[in-house]
Amino acid sequence: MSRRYIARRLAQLVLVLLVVSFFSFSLLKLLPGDEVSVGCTFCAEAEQERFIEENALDDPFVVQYVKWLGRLATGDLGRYYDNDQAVTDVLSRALPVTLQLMAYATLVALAVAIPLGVATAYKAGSVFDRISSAAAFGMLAVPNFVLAIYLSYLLSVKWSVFPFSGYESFGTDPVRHFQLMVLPTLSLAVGQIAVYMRLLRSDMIQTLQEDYITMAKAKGLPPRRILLGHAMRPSSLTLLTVAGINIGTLISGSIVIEQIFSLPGVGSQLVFAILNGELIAAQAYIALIGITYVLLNFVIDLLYGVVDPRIRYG
Amino acid sequence: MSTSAPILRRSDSRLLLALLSLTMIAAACGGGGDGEASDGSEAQQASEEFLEEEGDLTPVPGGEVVFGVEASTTGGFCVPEAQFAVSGIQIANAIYDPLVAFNSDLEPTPFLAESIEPDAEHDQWTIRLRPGITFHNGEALDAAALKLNLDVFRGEVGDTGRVPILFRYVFRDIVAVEIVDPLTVTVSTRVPWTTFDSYWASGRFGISAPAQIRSEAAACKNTPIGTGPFKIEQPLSLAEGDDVRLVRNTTYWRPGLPYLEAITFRPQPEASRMLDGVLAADGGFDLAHFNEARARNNARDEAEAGTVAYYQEGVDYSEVSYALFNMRPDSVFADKNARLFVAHAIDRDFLNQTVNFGLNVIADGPFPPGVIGHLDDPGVPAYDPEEAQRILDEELGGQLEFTIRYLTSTYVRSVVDEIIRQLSAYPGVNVTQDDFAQSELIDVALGGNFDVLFWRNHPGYDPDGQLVWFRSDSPVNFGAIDDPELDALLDQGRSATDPAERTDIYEQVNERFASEVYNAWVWNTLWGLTTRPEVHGVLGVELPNGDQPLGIFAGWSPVTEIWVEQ
Repeated sequence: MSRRYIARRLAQLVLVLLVVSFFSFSLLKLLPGDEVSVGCTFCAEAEQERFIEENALDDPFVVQYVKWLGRLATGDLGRYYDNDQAVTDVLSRALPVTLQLMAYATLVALAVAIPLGVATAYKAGSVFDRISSAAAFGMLAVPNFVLAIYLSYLLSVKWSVFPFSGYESFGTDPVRHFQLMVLPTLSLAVGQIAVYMRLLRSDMIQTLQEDYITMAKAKGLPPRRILLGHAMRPSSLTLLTVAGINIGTLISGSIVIEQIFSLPGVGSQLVFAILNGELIAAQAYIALIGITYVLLNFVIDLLYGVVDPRIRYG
Repeated sequence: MSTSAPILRRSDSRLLLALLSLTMIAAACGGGGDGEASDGSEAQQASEEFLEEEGDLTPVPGGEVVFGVEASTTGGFCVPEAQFAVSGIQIANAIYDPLVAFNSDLEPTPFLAESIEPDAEHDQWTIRLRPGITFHNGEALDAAALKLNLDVFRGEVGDTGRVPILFRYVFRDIVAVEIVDPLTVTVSTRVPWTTFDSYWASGRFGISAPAQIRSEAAACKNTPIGTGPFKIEQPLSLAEGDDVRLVRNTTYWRPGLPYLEAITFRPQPEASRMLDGVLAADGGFDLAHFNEARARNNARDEAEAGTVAYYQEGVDYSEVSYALFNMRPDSVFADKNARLFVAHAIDRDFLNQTVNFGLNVIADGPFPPGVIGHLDDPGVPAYDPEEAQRILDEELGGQLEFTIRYLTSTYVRSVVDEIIRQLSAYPGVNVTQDDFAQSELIDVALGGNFDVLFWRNHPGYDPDGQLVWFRSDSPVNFGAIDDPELDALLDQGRSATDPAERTDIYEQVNERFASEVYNAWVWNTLWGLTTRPEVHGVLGVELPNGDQPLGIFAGWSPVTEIWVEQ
């Protein structure tokens, strides 16, 4: 992968980020209602004027956007109307929770899906493959919040295997942290397992029909080495792509899971901000989610060349 | 008739409950599990059995509990400005002490105040504070602090920066607050105010430290400082979903209290999850309060099985759920016939059975049982489909269209769905529904942007407390009731001193509501408190004057005497 390619992608990234941020900013401006009446309902006139000045509400739309972008870039995400709390303060506590949940769910999903996908591809058509496929469809059919409640009832309430709800940071108590994250992680991961497993299986079956795989078999290489050393990497591109796209699914899934397990994450904050007219906070969260999504997919784009060296970018 | 709850008289080691309407269901009791509405007699027996056991227990200091509440209090705890929901009031009652507290007979008794007495005309009240009480930050609770609180509540904010939007109307009849001595103030009112003392019986009107009242806006909200049994360790995070953890106030003025080292309030909007959390052995809730009927029903079943303890608020003094009509001139319900149609068309008993398993009690007015002005039959239009049809055909031209609006809630949606189903049985009637977020409440309610608003309110203490909701010039008279006769009655009720006269006045208010059909009353909404079996003292012990406390009231319960088996 050439430096020129990376530079070009970075330039594209910046452009995409600007577009995402612009749409995030515009979306909430298009909502009916007056920001002053929502954000400063019972303010005296002097306070309203200060509110207008702080949020540049008297400026033209583009100027408002530029100022907002500048504040976003410097970490000033504004304040909640209701309690005057800095959005940054809330985000600094909430973001790690959601990122951890998403990361754990992705890792668990991949850790289960990759071996299963490889095995079912290798044993395509077997009883094991059919049972695994049926189970995958079953997992896909169950919404994550249904699974969350079911797991919670069985493993917390009935059998007391895991704690019911709450969050403990890793730094405070790592053991407790992981105990509390097991059920939320499983609730999000199960659906992902099914998706990744099916994708990898499909790609792997195709790859296993390639000539070089036949050559490797003819040379007497053990199946494990063929599967993991030769077939795995070229079969991973779709998996990588979908993992990137699934970030959006994880974000939306985390919203409900956070509520069920009382996790103080970003999902809960976003829903609250939208439902309660906290426009400044909602703008910030939507923009950050969009930016995070774009950045992660940028990283995934760069990983293509690492996973499959045949892919060259000029 | 009392709503409450155990009284633990330390002198005789027996818990005595005045329990006619409050049920504590322990193991091996019966009734209610299949959804049938209980008359309370079976629960009374079970409660007394339980109380005999509870009375032999000695509170054990120490431990922590997690208390499940239905929502976060993101608006913070700047008391004069805060718009508390039930959850917020529950937390406020742990941080702040009120001047008075209701006993089991709903009489205001001195709490922070050593005494609160009116003069003969009831237009001047003298409040004397107990000596030696300090706020959590060490400031003294004295007359100056009390005057500051009262002045801010009534809108005389000085340079504090506080903005008491609603309370300056609620307390507009206060004309002066004067310091008499270091522990005594007098409050002069514009008109005789017979029940002025009852307003102060909740952490909702708790007394805040001057340092908090004078702090910046954000600090006033996230750094509550009261005299209550629990206090904060650090400024609160007011983000949605965050816990509120409070620790024991080691200088609390009531000796030996509180028992707990800490209490954490954790929001959980789903009542069923709260109940599951109480049942879970780890990481859940030690106690939780909710009013959703299905969860209460399940909690009763679990209590019968002995897995939890369940306390249900009695109907006395409870909130009422109802359909609030918008009677502004341009509204469809400015026409009394439209209101009459709805009142006659809704089968409330069927609605209660369908949605609530029959667990709520049908309401016929704004004043629940136990509150003066309550009438068993004030003349509310009864369910009468034939009369409803006649009104629709002859008075409304065979057509009626409107929308029912409500704050987003799965439970309320189910109620409104059933109401719409019943009303839609009449040809020509077209009813739709529209839920809205909390952020829109001001626009919807204050702005009159609704035909019908389904909500709950008016927990009963003295009916004078409801004046702010019904008087024609009140900013929160959402239905735009414009009734000089009603206004006159409300004003008379505030100033009348003779109990019989007040009762008569508020009965007339009740009858006026019935005859004019300003609202379609549905039921009294009852709250339940579910706890792990090892949690005790959840309904309060003994007030400073020795009276029995009220227990659960409009969804909140005292926390000072909670203790946990170690």
